[in-house]
Amino acid sequence: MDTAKYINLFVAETREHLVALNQALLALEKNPEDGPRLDEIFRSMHTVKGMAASIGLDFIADLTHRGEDLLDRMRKRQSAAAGPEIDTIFAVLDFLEEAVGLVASGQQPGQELLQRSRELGERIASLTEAKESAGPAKVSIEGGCDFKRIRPLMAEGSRIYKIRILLEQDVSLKSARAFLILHTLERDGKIAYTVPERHDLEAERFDRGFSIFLVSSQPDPQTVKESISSAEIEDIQIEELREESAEQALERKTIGAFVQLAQEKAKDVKVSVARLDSLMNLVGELVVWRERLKQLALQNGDPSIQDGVDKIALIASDLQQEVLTARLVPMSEVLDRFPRVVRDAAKGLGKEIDFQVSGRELEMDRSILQMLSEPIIHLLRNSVDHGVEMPQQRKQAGKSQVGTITLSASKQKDQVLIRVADDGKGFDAERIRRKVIDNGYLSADQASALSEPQLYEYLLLPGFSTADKVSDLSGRGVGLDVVKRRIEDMGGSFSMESRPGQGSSFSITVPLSLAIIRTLLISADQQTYAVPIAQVKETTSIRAKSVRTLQGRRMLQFRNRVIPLVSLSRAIGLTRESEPDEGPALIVDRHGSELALLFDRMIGQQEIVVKPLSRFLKGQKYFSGTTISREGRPMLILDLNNITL
Amino acid sequence: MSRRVLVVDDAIFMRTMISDILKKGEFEVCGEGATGAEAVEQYQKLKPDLVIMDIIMPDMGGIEAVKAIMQIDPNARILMCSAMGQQALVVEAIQAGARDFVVKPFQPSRVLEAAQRALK
Repeated sequence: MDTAKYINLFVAETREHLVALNQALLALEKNPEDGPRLDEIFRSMHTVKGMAASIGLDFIADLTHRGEDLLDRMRKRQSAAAGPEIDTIFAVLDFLEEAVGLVASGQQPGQELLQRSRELGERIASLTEAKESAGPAKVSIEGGCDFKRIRPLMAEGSRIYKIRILLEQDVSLKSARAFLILHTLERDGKIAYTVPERHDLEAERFDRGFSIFLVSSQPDPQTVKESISSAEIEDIQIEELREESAEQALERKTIGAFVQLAQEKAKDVKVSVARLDSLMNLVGELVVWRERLKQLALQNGDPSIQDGVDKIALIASDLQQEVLTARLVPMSEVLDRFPRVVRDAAKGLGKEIDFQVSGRELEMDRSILQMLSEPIIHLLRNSVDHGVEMPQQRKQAGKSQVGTITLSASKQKDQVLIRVADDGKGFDAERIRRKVIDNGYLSADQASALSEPQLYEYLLLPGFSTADKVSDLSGRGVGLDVVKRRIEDMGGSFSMESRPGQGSSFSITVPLSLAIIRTLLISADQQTYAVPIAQVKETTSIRAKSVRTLQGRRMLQFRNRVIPLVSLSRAIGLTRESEPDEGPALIVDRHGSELALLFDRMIGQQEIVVKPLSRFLKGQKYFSGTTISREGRPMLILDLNNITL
Repeated sequence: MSRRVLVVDDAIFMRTMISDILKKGEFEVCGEGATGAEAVEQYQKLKPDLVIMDIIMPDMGGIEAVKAIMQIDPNARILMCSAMGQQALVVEAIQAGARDFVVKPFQPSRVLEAAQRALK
């Protein structure tokens, strides 16, 4: 048996279940009457248990089994779907997350982990057993198969049947009915045992269902079933059991579990991200050489070569599209973890927060999505920790006691905008101002001249934090500055807004797909640049008569607006002697304000593969990466989001 | 071919009712009895396919009658009628050889179903 393969499957599947479980449990906590949700949770837990048991991860199987017990009690309304019960299930999920990580890394569970698993199991047991003694004695009707009690009855050719009987809801004289069934079966066979035990059945100590383990010489289970079917029985299930060796049992369970898994997921194949990445790189290379080949074919002029190259170019485009699409995953893969983050953070602080997520269905590149996870978590914790006030404070401020945090994702051209917004107290401008002075950034006079948005900019400085003490949540030494830098490293942009007393919002804009982008190739001062088309609002040609100088700044009369005009070279920090008045220009939209950038020549459109900036250029804010031109020469990719005037 | 049934109950009301139910289900009521003793006597005489018999009757109860009939014909098919709360007696009747039981008040479909099953 190839355990390694199964372990990978186990890890991947379990992680999916954990995300779903967390989400469903949150929903259940909000609405404890949601029976189907509870069933869903139970099934997920059950599946994880089955998988873990199949590959010998007993400590996980045991714990999930206990979890299942508790969930089953909730289903039967013997336990509440609230408070300590829900918290315990959450604790189980956390533990599983950790345990699965360990399994994924190929390590064996240590003593400490096993100990915690046992403690968690006991915690569940204390919840279930306390209730057990309080209520009427219930006996579990599901018994495993006890071969020790069956073996003595076995003879040559005899078979073992497990017969599960469910009597009708309004059965009269149910123990007599059970007795009749047992009596009938004993005409042609021997009953090894029943679950619940026979004396319990006869004393009517069962609900409606019971199981019989029968040893019989009857080869046809249908005949056995037929012999006992009578009125007042809702359902009879019969299966033949075979005694098997421990290895056989394991093999059967494993194969069964994974065959079932394979059938359920027949349409999906799991591919490791590393494999997708290397496929992406290959396609990237192919795209570069396709462009180069196109160029060569054009120079060569032979129509048959031209034809072939066109075909290949077409196929390469399709392939590229396919690979890009294969890399797309719904945002829910990351977003669905967050309700749990917010819940836990809020609970820890005693805050009440309604967390709303939109845009789960939006698809984006897997690696970008993964890189986004941490910055978003940081922003959410920030909002829970520093944004939303305590219930009491909110009440005093005339707000609803329950704070709201929204996380929304929306598509804008080939970029995605992610917003985290809260209706909390907003940034404390005065506190930031004090800190600016205390930390020696500015004098008191200088600081008092700053507007609120200007003050907020200081929050983005490395190490600048207004929290008085380090909290468990956002005060982990990672500030907004780190969030901003992370996003910018990904080729995205970060901005924030705040209104005192009304809340704050943080916006992240990142490309939907990182690897290949459509660009305009332009030249300015003998330099060729690639500009991501997503950053360009439009291109235009400027004549001197539509340019004016207002308050020392050159402005362009464009359509019915007046927008700042600057040469591209100057905009990216190069000096030039004079500014041109005419020529082609890019109109770009930077965070809501337009800007016209003059350049020398438009070369054309090209799809390019983004390569990260070399170390030499790292930290250079005007460029987001490099690429290779059709001629095989390196080119810089401009990041127009960072252009300042 | 319709099956021949012997109906035994000390109440005429119950016998009539059972007979009416059986007739709708293509059974022929070949004889009736009011006591356990009559049941045994009629069984010997009529050799019916099926006996439907109350558990509690004067002059030899249902259980005794089952035992006696089984002595005569180990393959006899007997269906017991019982009221709620007679669980122990039903169990005893089954041990004695009764094939099934129906509980009063009767649902006609239940009676017919049980009768058909007992004859299989």
